[in-house]
Amino acid sequence: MFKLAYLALDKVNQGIIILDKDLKIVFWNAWLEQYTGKSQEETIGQKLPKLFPDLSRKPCLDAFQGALFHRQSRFLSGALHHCFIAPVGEIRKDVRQNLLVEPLDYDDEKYILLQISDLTGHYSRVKQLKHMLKEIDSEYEQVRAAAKINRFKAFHDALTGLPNRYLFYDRLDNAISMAQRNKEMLAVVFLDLDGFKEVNDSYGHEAGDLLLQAVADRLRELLRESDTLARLGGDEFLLIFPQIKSEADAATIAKKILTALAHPFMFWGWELYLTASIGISLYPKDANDSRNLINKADLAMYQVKNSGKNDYHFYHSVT
Amino acid sequence: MLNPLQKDVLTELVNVYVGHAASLLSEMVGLRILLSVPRVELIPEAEMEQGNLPLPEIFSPGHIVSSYLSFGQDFRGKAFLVFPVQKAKLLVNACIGEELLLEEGDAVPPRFLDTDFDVLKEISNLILNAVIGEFGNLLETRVVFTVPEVELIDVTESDQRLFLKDGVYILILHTNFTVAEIEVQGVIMIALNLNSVSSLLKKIDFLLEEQDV
Repeated sequence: MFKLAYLALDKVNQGIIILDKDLKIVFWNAWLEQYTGKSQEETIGQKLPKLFPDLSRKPCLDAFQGALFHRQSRFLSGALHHCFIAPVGEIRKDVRQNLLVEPLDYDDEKYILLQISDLTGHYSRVKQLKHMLKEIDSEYEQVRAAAKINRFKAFHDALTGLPNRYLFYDRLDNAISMAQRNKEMLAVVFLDLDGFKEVNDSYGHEAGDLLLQAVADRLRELLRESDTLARLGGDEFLLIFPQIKSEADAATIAKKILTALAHPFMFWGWELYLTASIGISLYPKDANDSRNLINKADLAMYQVKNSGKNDYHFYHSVT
Repeated sequence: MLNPLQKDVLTELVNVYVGHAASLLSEMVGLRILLSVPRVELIPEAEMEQGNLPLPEIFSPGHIVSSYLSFGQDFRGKAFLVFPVQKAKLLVNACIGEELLLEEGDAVPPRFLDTDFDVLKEISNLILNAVIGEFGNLLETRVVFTVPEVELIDVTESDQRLFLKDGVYILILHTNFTVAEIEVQGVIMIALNLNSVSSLLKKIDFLLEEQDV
C-alpha cells in the first residue's frame, strides 16, 4: 500500500517535494525530474534552497519555518513570486508557479510537503485576457463618448450650440407643467431678425453665420438660469421665460432684447446694424399647450413685421 | 460582550499580530504596507444573525470577496478576511503594481481573474495565519491551519455562509490596509466556539490582573 501511494505521488501532474527538518529533500517526484532535468539521485539528500536559490528567499524560508515550528500551511502565488524552481532549458519567458507549503508529521519527525504547479501558460492567457478587457473597456469608452456627442448634436443647433426645435419643445412642455402646478405665468418669445437676408446677400454666408453666433451670444447674456433660448433655424429664435409675474415683465424682457441688438455688430472691420421683430404669447392667457403658444407668438411676430419691424407685440394685440 | 479594558488589551494584541503580518507582506511585495486594527468587537453569532446588532459597514449590499480558513485543536474556529469587491481589487492591483483604474461608485463589480484570487489567497493566508497563530501562542496551545479559500459572494446570500455553525461568537477586527498610499478597509472575522472564547477571555483577564499586580 505504501509503495502504491509512492507510485501515485510520482504520477501526479505537479511537483511534489518532501523536506525534512533540515530542508533536505527526502522525496522528489517524476514530474519534477522531467520539469527540472534533475533526477532523484541528484536531488535526494540535498538541501533544497541550495539547489534552487529562488527558494532561499525570505518568504519561502518563512513558510518553511512556519510549517516546521508552527504547523502553518502557506500558499505562495506565482502572481507575487513568479518562479520557485527553474525549469530545465527554459525558453519561455516569465515562468509562473504557485507553491503550497504544508506541515507533515511522521514517526515523531517533522517534514514539509511542497506542491508546485506551473501556471505559465495560464498566466499568459490571463495576460491576453486582461489586454482584451482593456481594449474592450477603451472601445466602450469611445462608444459612450460618441453617443454623448450624438445626443448633444441631436438636440442642439450646430452653428450656435443652442437647443434646437426638439429640445425647445421638450423644455416648453416641462415649463408649462411646472407653471400649471405652481399656478404661474410664462412667456414664449418668437424672435426674427430684420434684414438678415440682406446681410447674407451682401457679405456672404460666412458673415451671416458669424452674425447669428454673435446674436446668440448677446441673447444668452440676457437669460436667467431658468430661461431657455433656442434657434429654430435661419434667423428665427425662440425663448421661454418662466415664472413671470405680469405682462409688463415680458414687455421689459422684449425691450431689453431690442436694446441688446441695437448696438452694432463688429467683424472683419465692418460695423453692422441689426434689428429684430418680437412676438410674445403668454401661458395660460393665450394658450395652454406648447404648439399653440409658439404659433401665437409667431403670429404676433408677423404683426410686428407688417407694422414696421424693430418692435414687440403681444398676441392679444393681434386680434 | 467585551468590557472596555478587555477591548483595549485585545486591540493592542491584534495590532501587534497584524503588524508582524504587515512587515512580512511588505517584504514580499516590495512595498511599504501598513496594517492596523482600530476597532475590535466580540458579538454573539445569534445576535448578528437576528440583525439585533448592526453589521459592519462592509456588509452594505453588493459583492464582497471573502477568504476563509479553518483552524483546529484546542483553539477552534474559522477565520475570514472580507473586503468589499472594489477594495479587494485595489489591494490586489497595488500589490502586483498594476494600474488602479477603478472609479468610485462603479456599478459594475471589477473583473476578478483567478490570478487575482491567488494574490488574495496569499495575503489572507499570511494575515490570518499571523493572527490565529499568535492567538495560539497566547493561549499556549497548538493550532492546525488550512490554506484559505477565496470566494466572490453576493452579500445578500453571504450571511448564512459566512457565519458557519461551529462558531458561537464572532470576533470582528476592523482592519485598515495602507499600500502605496492607498487605503483599503477590510474586516477580519473569527468565528469561535464557546470554549475558545472563554479561554481567550480568561487569558485576557489574566493579562489584566498581571498588570494590576
